[in-house]
Amino acid sequence: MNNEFRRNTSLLLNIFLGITVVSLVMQRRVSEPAIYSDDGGFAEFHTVMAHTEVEDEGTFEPVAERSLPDYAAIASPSERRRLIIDQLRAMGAPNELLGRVARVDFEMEWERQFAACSGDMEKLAAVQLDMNLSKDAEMRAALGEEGFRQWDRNYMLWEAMSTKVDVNQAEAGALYSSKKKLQQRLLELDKARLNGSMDDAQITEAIDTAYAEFHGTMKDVLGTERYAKSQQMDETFVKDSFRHQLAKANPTDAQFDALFKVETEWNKARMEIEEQFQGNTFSPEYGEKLRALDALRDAEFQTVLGEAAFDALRKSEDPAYVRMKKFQGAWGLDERDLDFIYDTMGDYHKGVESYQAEVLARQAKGENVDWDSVTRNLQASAEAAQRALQERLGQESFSKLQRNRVLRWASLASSPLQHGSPQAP
Amino acid sequence: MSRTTFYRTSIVLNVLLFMAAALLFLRRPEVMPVAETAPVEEMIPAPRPRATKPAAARFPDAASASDQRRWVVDQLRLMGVPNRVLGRIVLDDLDWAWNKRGGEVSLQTHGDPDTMAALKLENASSLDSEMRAALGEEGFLQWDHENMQREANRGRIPLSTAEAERTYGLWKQLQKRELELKKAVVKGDIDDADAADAFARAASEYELQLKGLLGEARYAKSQGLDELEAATLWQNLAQVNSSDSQFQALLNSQKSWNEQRAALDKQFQGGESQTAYAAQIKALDAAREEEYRRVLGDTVFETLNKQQDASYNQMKKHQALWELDDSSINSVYGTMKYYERTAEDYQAQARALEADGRPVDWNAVSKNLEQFARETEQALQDHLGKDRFDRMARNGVFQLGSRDLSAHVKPSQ
Repeated sequence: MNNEFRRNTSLLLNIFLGITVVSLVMQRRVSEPAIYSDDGGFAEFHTVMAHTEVEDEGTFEPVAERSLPDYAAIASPSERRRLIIDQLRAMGAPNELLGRVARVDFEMEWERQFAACSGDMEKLAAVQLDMNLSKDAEMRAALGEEGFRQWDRNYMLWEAMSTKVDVNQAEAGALYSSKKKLQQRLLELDKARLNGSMDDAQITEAIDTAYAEFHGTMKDVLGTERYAKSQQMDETFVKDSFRHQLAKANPTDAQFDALFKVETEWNKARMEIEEQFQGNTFSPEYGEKLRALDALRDAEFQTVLGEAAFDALRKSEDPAYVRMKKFQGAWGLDERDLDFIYDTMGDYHKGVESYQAEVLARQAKGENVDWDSVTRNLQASAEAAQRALQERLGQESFSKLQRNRVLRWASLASSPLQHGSPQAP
Repeated sequence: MSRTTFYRTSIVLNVLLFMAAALLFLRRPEVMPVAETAPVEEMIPAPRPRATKPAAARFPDAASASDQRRWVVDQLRLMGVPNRVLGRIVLDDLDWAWNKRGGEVSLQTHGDPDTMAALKLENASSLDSEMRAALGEEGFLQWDHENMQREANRGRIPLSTAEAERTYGLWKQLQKRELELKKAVVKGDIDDADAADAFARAASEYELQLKGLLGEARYAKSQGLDELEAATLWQNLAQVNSSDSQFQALLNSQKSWNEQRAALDKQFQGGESQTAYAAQIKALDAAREEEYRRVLGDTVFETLNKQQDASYNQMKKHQALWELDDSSINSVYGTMKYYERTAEDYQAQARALEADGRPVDWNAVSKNLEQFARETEQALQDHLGKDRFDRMARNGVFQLGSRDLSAHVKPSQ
């Protein structure tokens, strides 16, 4: 072999080996995941793909040689999720969408384990806990550390706030870590519930404590004003809701302010009564106090609004009246019929309430109550109201109201006199 | 460069390139192992990506939500993701979008029930078209047929292609009718009671047509009630190691109880004579209990009863935490059962007297029951000690007192 031939052969071998090395490098790059860039976006993922625009549809045609993972051929669910997410990310899919795809695939992976429980609640709870415990790790594996944190933080903050308030990076970080701490504690308590190391009363207490701590942190981080807004407890939200509630009465600004004050005081007084009678809500005194409080508020509302506006407001708050208005045509009722029904039922319920209060008071004094007679009296009162309605509306309209359970009749079986009371007869 | 230097450089380059190629070849990404036998539903070939509208290589940021869903489905389908997973992803995305919108509307309207009901209905009405747009016709039909199998063929009986198509048609027709009725209610054209009646008629017609298509026996099997009954019984008996023949005997007994119970419910549908109804139910329950005892024997029967008692299970679960030994648990369980039986018998006697037209002093009945509950409570407290008793009471282990004396309510099943 002469020198010229050896040189040429070596040169050809240089070229061949060069091509081999380049193609092996390209092959490796195709199977590598996308890299999360520092600027919070996902770096472009360079695969051997191109697209051509289909003009009429505005869609793109993928090149046939695109290298895609084969879902069915990948035995490990974690691995296949990672590969699929990497591909979608390389195509520019937003992180929220990637999180959804990964989460749904993860949840479906557990379907068979849930089905194997055959409805056994303990087993179902155990599988649910296992799933919840492994969720973060699996989502992290699928989305990568940065992708997971972004997805999880967004979700945690969304869950923590009923109304979104603006937060800076540091605040978001603090809220996120506090929410994760809460989540972790709830998982521990689920575990304790399952293995019996804590009883239900202890768990309820521990849950309350964990939530109180989380809300305390939220308040510290956001300050009182933003915290109240995030929980829909700020004055703007509360006033807005109240204005909506009063819409039918169409109050002036001055009337609104006066009513808002009455409502705030009523709420405060009501909470005090609830606290005072905690665990003793069947006491006659409890009912009496509530009735007196409501009557006082109604009187003040009436004074501020005037009788007609107050009446319109009360009707708009009555579910039965609202329902009758909706089906007025179908039930053949005119406005005067509606008013008649509303007034008749109002009188009937007032009568029943005061009778029940009277019976409870007699019982509380240690007097013997003749329950048969109480039942008969309640029945008679209901029958009188029914007769009046039937006469006015005719049998057909009355039946429609009855069939749709618009008219509520008190009975001994559904009376608080009979159920759940330590003083039940 | 001299020829000799050029040649030497080329040889060195060859060695380096060879080493690089060898290294890259040896460290190439591994080929993933092929999954073992795939489940049947995954073996059904997923619908092909639509040829007329091929998937885009880039996520269409500016496209509508519907087009974005279609894009995701097309990309995932190209990767071999099964149709059922695609369906769930689309449904999840729709749910998220609807919830978000629902939250906004609820804030704007302060949760106005009519507006919220209309919105919910709007979502339900658009479900099929949204799913079809995302999954394509073939994918949608595969997904929806699976829904039909889950709802209309719970027993998963084999259906011929023609039967499956016809069942699907009937099921869709019923679904359509339900939506129409809901729409009419939201608009106020018909009321809830009329809508419920109209739907009951449509459901009954659907049932008749399905029975005509499958025949009575296959229809009954398709509803999966027998399987559900057997699975529940199997689960209940799991911890007492019953034999196959015992299981079968109890399953027959349970079926017979179901039939008799249904007949009784029908007989007393009008709500008249609740005392007689309650007495017959009690007799029926007692007969079933006796049959269970006969088949399983006293000991196993008692064990089974304990395992189905919520308080007993709670005590067993927290046995260590509450420092209870087995004998204490059995004693508390026995005391509670004695209380329940005695109180029930006493109430039944009072109701029977009243049914005979004799006066009953319900006030006295109640007071006696309260007194009995307090005595039972005291006995439990003496046995367990105050701290332990309070702790267990806080967890709702003892269901004493506040018994419902009303004769107007059917006893719960």
